[in-house]
Order: sequence, then C-alpha cells, then structure tokens
Amino acid sequence: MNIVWNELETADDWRTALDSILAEARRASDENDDDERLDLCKVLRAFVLKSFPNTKPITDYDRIALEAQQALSEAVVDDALDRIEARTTTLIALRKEIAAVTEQTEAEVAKLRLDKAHTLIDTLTDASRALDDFDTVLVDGDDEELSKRLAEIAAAIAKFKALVQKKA
Amino acid sequence: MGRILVLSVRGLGLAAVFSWLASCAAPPDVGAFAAATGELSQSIRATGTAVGGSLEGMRGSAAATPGDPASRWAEAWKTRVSVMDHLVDYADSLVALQKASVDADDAVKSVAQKLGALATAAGIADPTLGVGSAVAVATDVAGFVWKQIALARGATTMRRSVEAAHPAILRIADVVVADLRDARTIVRGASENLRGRLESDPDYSDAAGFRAQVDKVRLEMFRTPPKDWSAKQVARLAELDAIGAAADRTMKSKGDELLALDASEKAQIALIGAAGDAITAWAAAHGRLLAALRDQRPITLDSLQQAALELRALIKKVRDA
Repeated sequence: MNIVWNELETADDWRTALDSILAEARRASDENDDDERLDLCKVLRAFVLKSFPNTKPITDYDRIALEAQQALSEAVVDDALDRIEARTTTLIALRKEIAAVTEQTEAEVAKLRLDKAHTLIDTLTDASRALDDFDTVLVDGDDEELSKRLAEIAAAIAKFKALVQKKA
Repeated sequence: MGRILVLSVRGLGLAAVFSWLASCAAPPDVGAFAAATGELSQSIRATGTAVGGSLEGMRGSAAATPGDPASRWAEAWKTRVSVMDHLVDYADSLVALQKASVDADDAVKSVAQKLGALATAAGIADPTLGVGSAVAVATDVAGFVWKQIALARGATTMRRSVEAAHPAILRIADVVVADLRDARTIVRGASENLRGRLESDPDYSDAAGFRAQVDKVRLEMFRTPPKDWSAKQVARLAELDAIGAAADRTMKSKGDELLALDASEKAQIALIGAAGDAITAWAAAHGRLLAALRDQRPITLDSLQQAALELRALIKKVRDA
C-alpha cells in the first residue's frame, strides 16, 4: 500500500488515509493473507508515528490505528495457532506409529543381546545360591535367619515361575 | 566310512550356511542419523522456547489463561517436542540394533560366563578349575555363529523397521515443516504486535511526529534551495536540526528496545528456517537409509551432519539474543 505521507496536511487528509488503510486491512483479513496483514500493521504504525499535529482528531485517529494494528497482528498469531492446533491430532497418530516401530526394534535388540537368556540364568543362579545358603542356615542358623532364607527362596522361585510363564 | 561321509556332508552344509550368512550385509552404522535426529529434536525444543518467549512478551503483564496465545502455543508445541522425543528413541533403537548385531558374539560369551557361574553356584563345577579349553572353543564357535545370524537378522530388522517407519517419517516432516511455517508467522505477528506497543509510548510517538515534520520541512527547503542561504534560512535550518536531534534523543531508549526486538525476531526466523530445512534433509536422509538397506550398500549422511552443525550454531544464537 502506497501512501505519500508528506502530502497529508489536514485532519481530513489523515482520516481519508486511515479509512483507506482500514479498508485494505478488512480485505486482507477476509482473504486470510498473513503477509498483507503484517504489511498493513507496519503501515498503521507509520500512520501513528507520522500523523501530526497532535490535535484531538489526529490523536483519535492514532488510537484507532493502534487498536487496528494490535487486532490485526493478534489475528495473524491466532490464525497461525489455529492451523498448528488443527495438525496436532495427526501428529499424535503418527507418534503412535513410530512408537510401535521402536518397540518392535527394541524387542529384536533384546533378542540379539540374549536378554532373556541372561535374565533366566541370573534368576537360576540366584535361586541356586539361595538354596546353597539355606543348607548352611538349616544346620547353624536361628529361626529368624531360616525364615529370611525361605522368603528369599520363595522369591527366587516366584521370579523363575513368572519368567517361564512369560516365555510360555 | 559312512559316519565320515555324514560328517563331511554336515561340514559342507555348515560351510554353505556360514558362506550365506557372511554374504548378508551387516546393518549400516546409523550413528550419524541418530546424532542428527538429536540435533533436530533440540532445534524443535529451542523453537518452542523462543516462540513462546515472543508470545509471553505479547501477553505482557496480564495473567496467563488457557486460551491466551502463549498458553495455546505451549500446549500445542508440547506434542511436537514429544514427537521429536519419539523420533530420537526410534533412531536410538536403530543404533542399538546395529550395536547388538555387531556385538552378538559378546552376548554369547557373557551368557557362557553366567552359565559357568550358575554351574558353580549349583555345585556342578569346581570354581577353581575355571572354564576348560573345550568349553572356551565351543563358546567362541557359538559366538561366531550367533554373530553371523545376528548380523543378518539385524540388517533384516533394520530394513523392516525403516520401511515401516518411513511413511510416518515423511508425514511428520510435512506436518512439522507446515508448523514451522506457521511458527515463523507467529514470530512476525508477535514482533509486530510488540512494535506497535513500544511505539505507542506517548513520548516516543510525539518525538517521532516531530522528527517526521522536521524531515518534511527540511525536504521542502532543499527541494528548491536558494542560491545564497539567508541568515534567517540558516537559523531556521539550525533550529530544525536541533528539534530533530532532541526528538532522536527522546526516541533513543525505545529505539534500542526496537532494535533488540528486530535482532531477536531475525534470529528466531533464521532458527525456524534452518529447522525446516533440517527436517526436510532429515526425512530425505531416512529415505536414503531405506534405499541403502534395500540395496545393501553403505550410506552417506554428510549433508545431514552439516545441517545439524548449522542448527547447533543457530540455537546458540537465539539463546544468546
């Protein structure tokens, strides 16, 4: 939008200029043209800075121009936010797809690392050690120690059972 | 004689299997791809912080509400950051797959060691004797065989994973590029909004009005300059310059704020632009990875690494601005 600021003299000149800027702003808003709206924001700022003298009508025009500039820039931001929010559901669905692929890949990694074999052997080793200790405690230990060892054995057996069931 | 024949046939069979396994390409090193994914994730996070800062500036001293632009942005961008986190996990899983394939013989050795520990704990082996040489050889052979199997399985799994993820990756890239385009619009809109507020300060606005009038009168005076300037005209010019200088002094403090706003907007837009370029390059690199896996050939990700370096520099610039 081309305005020759130096040619604006009277309050009527400034009002006519403001009217034409606001008409352009309405058109740009109807067309959802962000670039045009942002360009008009600049023109409205220029209007406020260049308008002179500071008589009542001119200061009133400045207030209108500033309100329009703020509303126009806020509308640009709001519309962009609307577009971003509208894409959120799509992204959530795509995120699930990626998570599923990652889960499958990680499962294969666990297989290649023999994770289950490691866990199974660790569990069996723990159970075996607990049983070994139990023999000693059975001969020399008191009741409290005995029940503690029994609890350890029970836990080891439960862990082993859970692993086997999971495998099955 | 019959037994020797059977053993020979078995040996030939095993040799054929090993030969086939060795011909299968190992999964490629995807470390650079994972590193670039991490950088990209950082840039999306940095974009969120930067744009959020602009919108908070636009909100000013007003209390935050769920519907205000800064809150809406924070909520919406949270999903983008979460998507990027998932992409980092995905890339890391590919790296883990490659590592697990290459290190498969170590996994077998580790299992063998644990089995030794189990045998000792169960009292079926003497810990002082250690693992016999026959067991060690068997472990080495098992490790070798498992590694060949793991390499082939790793390459196949990687191809399947990359194939399965690719359509989603392309869509994510499209959506995030569109988001970044809108993020750029938001930065421009928020900056414009802040400029309007800064310039509406009465002192600044009045001074700007004086400056505009001074420029206008000076322009008129120089449009048709006299051959010889009268003393009155020179005095008038000096007076105009003094008024203009006074107006400039009044405008300076807000002027500095406006300059800082310009610099911040410029840095944010550069970051957003680079993040958009990087995600496009990243999706293309994923496509090249898929093609390389299908054709069993190595991949080059130099341009992606370059984009990642550029992003790092821009993130720093925005943080410093």
